[in-house]
Amino acid sequence: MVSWYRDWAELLMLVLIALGFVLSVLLQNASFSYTTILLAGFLAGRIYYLKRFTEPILPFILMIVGFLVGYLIGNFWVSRIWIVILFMLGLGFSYYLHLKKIIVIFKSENFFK
Amino acid sequence: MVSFKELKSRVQTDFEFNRSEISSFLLAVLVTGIIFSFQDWGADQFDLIFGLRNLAMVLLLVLITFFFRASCQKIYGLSEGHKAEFKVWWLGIAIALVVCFVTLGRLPLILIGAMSAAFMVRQRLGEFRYGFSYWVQGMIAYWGPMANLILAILFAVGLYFAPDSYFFSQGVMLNLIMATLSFVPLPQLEGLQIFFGSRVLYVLGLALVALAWILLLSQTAFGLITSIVLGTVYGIIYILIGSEK
Repeated sequence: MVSWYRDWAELLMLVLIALGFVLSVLLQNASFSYTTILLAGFLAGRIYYLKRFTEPILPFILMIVGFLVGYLIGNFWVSRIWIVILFMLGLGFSYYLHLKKIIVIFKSENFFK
Repeated sequence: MVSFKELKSRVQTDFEFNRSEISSFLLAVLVTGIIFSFQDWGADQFDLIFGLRNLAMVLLLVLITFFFRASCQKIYGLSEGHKAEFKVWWLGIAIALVVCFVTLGRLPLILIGAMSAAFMVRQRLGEFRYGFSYWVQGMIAYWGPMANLILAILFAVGLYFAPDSYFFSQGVMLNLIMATLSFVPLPQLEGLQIFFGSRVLYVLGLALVALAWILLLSQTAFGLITSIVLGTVYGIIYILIGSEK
């Protein structure tokens, strides 16, 4: 029997795999698909920055990877290697911008209070 | 609400858009412009010049709308001794763009973020029980959709006299959609602030937006005149109640 309180990370990962798959199948234009995965990478970078010191971090990594896997499975029209590269680029760039405080979160010092 | 003279002084000293706000606004304007002009890049086949012209018009339109909306919210905030600042919702912008790609622009969403208010102690000295107020926060947020409705009526007037105008028709649609989505009760949007400010205000706002959809999209003289009259009456009642100090 699946318990939400115990298996929430795995369940959310499954939801994100499904979301990534559906999104990827619906986006039949290559440029839209690449833009979307770049945006997803940006958001993943932000999530990773927000959660990088919290424990457990594994569930969040599982969810990010889950979305990427779902997206890759549903991608029949574009290059899967480019999808991974663009996702990583988006993630790295977003993480860098957050690290340098160019993009801020609500805990940042210069954020409006 | 403070006197007009005091409000003028507050606007002169404290009305501003800081750098982070301007950069967020520009990004939101660009994304919203792309979303709203997505289906207008040629009738049968892709036409770059036609599309760029439409995009430029929509960008101008979105800029006017966002500036007017934010200004209304900021000025109302200053009148109540609060400083309002735009807080962008990155996820919302990404969701709107992805939904636009998936639906090929058939479902334009505007999920750009909301105004967040901070209490200005200096402006509240001498007033009764000063402190942060959910009501004021809700009212600042409420001014957003109301500003959209004012603009929607103005664009509808323009559309009445120039029925083929792309600028006016997109202006009406943009403002009505933005006013509607302002009531989505998510923490990053204004809907939740209005909801916690006042349930009555939330329901009233939703009813006004629904009425505006019906009256303005009817594209009849009756609908337009009724919406102008109702808007004016609502404004007069608001001024009579609000300017008691």
